Amino acid sequence: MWEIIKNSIVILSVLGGLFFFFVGTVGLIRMPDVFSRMHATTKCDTLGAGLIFIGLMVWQGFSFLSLNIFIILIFVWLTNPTAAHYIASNEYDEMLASQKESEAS
Amino acid sequence: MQQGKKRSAVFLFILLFAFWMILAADIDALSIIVGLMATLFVVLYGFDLIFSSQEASRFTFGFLFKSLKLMVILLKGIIISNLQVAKIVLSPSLPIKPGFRTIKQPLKKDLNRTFYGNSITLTPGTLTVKLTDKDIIVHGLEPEYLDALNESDIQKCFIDLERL
Repeated sequence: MWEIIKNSIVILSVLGGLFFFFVGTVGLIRMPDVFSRMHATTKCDTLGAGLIFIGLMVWQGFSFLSLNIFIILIFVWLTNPTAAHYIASNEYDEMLASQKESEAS
Repeated sequence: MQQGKKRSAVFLFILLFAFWMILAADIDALSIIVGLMATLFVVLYGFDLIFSSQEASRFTFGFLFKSLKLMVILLKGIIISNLQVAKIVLSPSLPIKPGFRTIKQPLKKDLNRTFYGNSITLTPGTLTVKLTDKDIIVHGLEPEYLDALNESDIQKCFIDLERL
């Protein structure tokens, strides 16, 4: 009985993670500009990776390896928005510079 | 200032080495030596980036409790924002009106600012673009998401944390 519950939790969370990764990728292709694309990828990758890692942790059970997975999960959750912020910040600078150029000419 | 930085560097060294040992899985001489060398390199390389204790809130029980509350709110925000983005991306007409807005930010400490910026990125429909001393430039998919940022629960939580 416990096996069935465990397996269904794992399957559901990995499928959910796959769904959010899929949505993130579709958003990356469909959105019109850099900033909107960052919206789609950051958010969906965060929850997608989270769900897949949680599924793996349940699959692994309570062990040292699931502690590793948990630490990797925290790392991904910290770095993902930071990377998005860095890309968006650089793009914003670029945008301001090109606006100034077009005003000057 | 320099003294505080040295202490944080030692703390960071211990933290990074523990992190390495957890990831390395098996404990033998080789992994310990490589870990010590790698950790030392990272700490020396990032020495001028290390924040001292003045830039963060003090770590007390109140801090722990408030950050747990913050994490619950944030987790709720992450799930809601994912469902919203999924709805927007999968709808055929792509209903977005993207735009920028400058909002005020009340935080003084660097670490809290960093977490606040990251939290804004993870809450529904908003993305931190620039973070300065007085305000944040935020990009939003819809104007209503940008309106929701002022006086939000997350901002209140961070102001609470800042007081500690």
